[in-house]
Formats: sequence, structure tokens, C-alpha cells
Amino acid sequence: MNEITRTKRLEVAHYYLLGYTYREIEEETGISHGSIANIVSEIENSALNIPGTSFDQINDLRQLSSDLKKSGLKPSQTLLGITFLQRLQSFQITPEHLEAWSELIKKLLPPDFPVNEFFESARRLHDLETSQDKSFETITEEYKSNCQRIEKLKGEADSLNEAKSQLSNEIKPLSSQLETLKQEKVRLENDVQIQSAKAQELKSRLKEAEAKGVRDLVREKSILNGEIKELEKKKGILLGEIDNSISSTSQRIKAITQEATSQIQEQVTSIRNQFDSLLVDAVNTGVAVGEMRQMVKKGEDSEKGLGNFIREVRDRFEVK
Amino acid sequence: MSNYTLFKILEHLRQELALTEVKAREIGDHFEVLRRETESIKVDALQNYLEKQKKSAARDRGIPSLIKNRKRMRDSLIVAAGGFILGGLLTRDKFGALTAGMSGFDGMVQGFGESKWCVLLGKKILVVPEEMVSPQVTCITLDNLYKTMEELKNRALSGANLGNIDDVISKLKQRQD
Repeated sequence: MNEITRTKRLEVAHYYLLGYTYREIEEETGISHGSIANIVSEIENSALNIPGTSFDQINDLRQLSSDLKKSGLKPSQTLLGITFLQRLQSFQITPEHLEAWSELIKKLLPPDFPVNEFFESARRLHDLETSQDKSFETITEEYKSNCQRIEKLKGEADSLNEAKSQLSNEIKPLSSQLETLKQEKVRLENDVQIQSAKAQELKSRLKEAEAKGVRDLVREKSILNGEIKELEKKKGILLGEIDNSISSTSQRIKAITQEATSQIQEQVTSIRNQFDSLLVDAVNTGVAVGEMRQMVKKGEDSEKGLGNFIREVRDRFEVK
Repeated sequence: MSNYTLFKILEHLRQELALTEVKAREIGDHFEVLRRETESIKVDALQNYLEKQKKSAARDRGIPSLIKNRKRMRDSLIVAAGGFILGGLLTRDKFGALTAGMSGFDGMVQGFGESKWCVLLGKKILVVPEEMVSPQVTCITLDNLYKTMEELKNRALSGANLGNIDDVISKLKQRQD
């Protein structure tokens, strides 16, 4: 046993897991039957560790490989079958319904049935119903009515074709007229070309005239610029004169204002003096009026006193 | 408003004020004169009552004398009749003539009761003949009182305030003293 390398032993383990018999392993690896048995014993006792495989999966893998081998299937085919089964489950078809489903398919689809075309048509029909948001029956009804309309339109088209042929007959003289008109058009186009040439000539003359006008204007502009400069000089002189005039006028206004102010002050002073004098007179008058009132009051008191006096005198005398 | 107008108004106001002052002073002076005369009238009134009192007393004294003396009675009646006739001639009025006649008779009667008069200045003012006053009683002769009253009247006209009757009597007594 010690002479068999680990690689060789793992190779034996690989074939063992694939469900090979001891004899087949022997043929593949060239290791003796007894050694193979020992290696298998090591695997089962966990003495030999197979990378990527746990010990408790070893028997299951060996059993699965044996079953596949008996069924004549390869692991890749198994994987395909598992994938297919998952697809069927996604369509709600479980393994227990698989047989019934297979029978149904057989009944629906005879051997020469064009499956691809059928499914393509079904898909298109589905797409049509989805896009139109209508049922197949509704679409069929609409199709029928459209067919009827088409028939009707065909009748109308026939009558229109008849009218068209009739019009074609009428068009022929018109075509000859059109030809005449085309010739006329050509003649007119020639005239237009001639007129265009004349217009071009006129345009060039106009440009020349414009250029001449511009030159004249430039000359006039230069003359006017000179005049403007002259006028600006005059303007400067006039502005100076205006400034002088303004300053002298403002001085005169200031002098007049001062004089007027002094006169107003004098008048105000005079008025104030008049008012003061008037106030003194008013005070004196008030004093005089007050004194007069006192005198009047005294006179009234004296009158009353005289009345009382006479009564008292009368009381004092015993006149018989 | 122009200054000229303002000055004119001010001048007019000054004139008005001056005129008002003069008028007020004049009125005050007039009232002062009236007051003084009113004060002096007090003396006149007192004098008037004294005179009335004296005449009344003289009449009281003259009638008994007239009854006792027939000659006086006859003279009085002649005077009354003469006064009546004269009054009638002058006024050509019966009542006027009667008044003139009675006035003449009354004058005659008072003349018969004429005496030297004294004045008693008490609670009552009495004018009595001097001989009727007892020597113990102090009295003022009417003539002296009149003189004193004349002075008082002059004082009143000069501006003095005489006051009520008590004040006047007090002043008269002081003067007599």
C-alpha cells in the first residue's frame, strides 16, 4: 500500500465516486483489486480525504453515479434534465403531473404539427391582444367588418378606376395644351433672363450711383465736420461770455438782494418801533381807561352812599 | 399790504388810542367832579333837614305867640292877604295866589317863633331853642354848625370822602371841639 502515491489513490477514489466497479477501476488505473479495496476502505473510514467532498456525501455520490450509469445517463445530461424540470416547475408542472402533461401534449400536437409556427402564432396572437387591449373574438369581429368595408371600397375603387380612365381620355387634349404652355413658359423664362440681365445692369449702375453718392456724402461730412469744429469754437467763446454774464448777473443779484435785505431790515425796524410806540400808547390808554373805570366805580359808590346818607339823615331827624 | 398802508393804519391806531385816552381821562375827571359834588350834597342834605327842623320848631313856637298877641295876628293876616293879592296879580292864578298868601303868613308865624337855635347831635338830631337847653347839656349853635358844615363841604369838593352820617357827625363834633 505504501508504494501507491496519494495522487494514484485519489484517482482511484475519483473513479469510485463515479460508480466504477473494482474491475473497471483496475482497468483504468492499473492498480490491483486488493489495493483498490484497501483504498475504498480508507475512503469509507475517512483515512483518505478527498478534496471538495465531505465524508457523509461519499456514499450518496457513489449511489447517484451508479444509478446514472445504470440509466445510461451522463452527469451533464442529468444537469440538463434538472434544468428542464425546474423550467416545468416554473410553469406549475410538478413531476407528478409530468406524465399527464406529456399525454396532453401528444394529443394536442400530432407528430407532423409545426410546433414552432404554432407557438410563434400563439405568441403573436397574444401580443396582438395585449397591444390592442382587445380579445381575440373582438379582433375577429373587427376583421370581418373591415373585410366587408374593403369589399365595399373595392367597388368604389372600381368605379373610381372607371372615372380615372374617363379622365385620362379628357387629359389628352389638356396635355397638348400643357405642352403649349410649357413652350410659352420657356419663352417667358428667356424673357425673364433678359430682364434679369437688364436688372443686373441696373443694379450695377445703382451701385455706382450709390458709391458716388457715398463719396459725395463723405465729402460733405468732412465739410460739415469743419463747420462743426468752427461752431464748437464759437460755442466755447459763447460759453465763456455766458459764464461772465452769469457771474456779473449773480453779483448784481447779490448786491440787489443785500440792498433789499437792508431796506427790509430798516422797514422792519421802523415797523417794530411803530409797534413799540403803539404798544406804549395802548398801555397808556389802558391805564387811562382803568382809572376811568375806577372813577366810575367811585362815582357809583358815592351815589349809593348819598342815598344811604339821606335815608340815615331822615331817620335821625324827627320832622313834624 | 404795502408799508405805506401799514404805517397809515398804525398812525390811525395811535390817534385812536390817544383820543381814547383823552376821552377816558375826561370821563374819569367828570366822574370825580360828580363824586365830590355827591359828597358835598351830603352836607347840603343835612343842612336842608336842619333847616326844616328849625322852621318846624319856629312854627311851633310862633303860633302860641300869635294867638296871645292880637296885633301880631292882624299884621300876619294883612301880610297873608297882601301876599295873596300880590300873588294873584303876578300869577293870575288862584292857587298861586293862595300859596303866596299862605307862604307870607307862614313866614310871619315863623318870625314870631324866631330864637337862637342849638343842635343836639345824638341818636336823634334835634334843633331846639337855646333857652330850652339845660346848662348841663353840651350843644352846638346852629350858626357855628353851619360854618363847620361849610368847611366840610369845601373839603368834600376838594376830594375828601365824608362817609356815612356817623362819620359826618363825628367830623362836625371834632371841628366844634
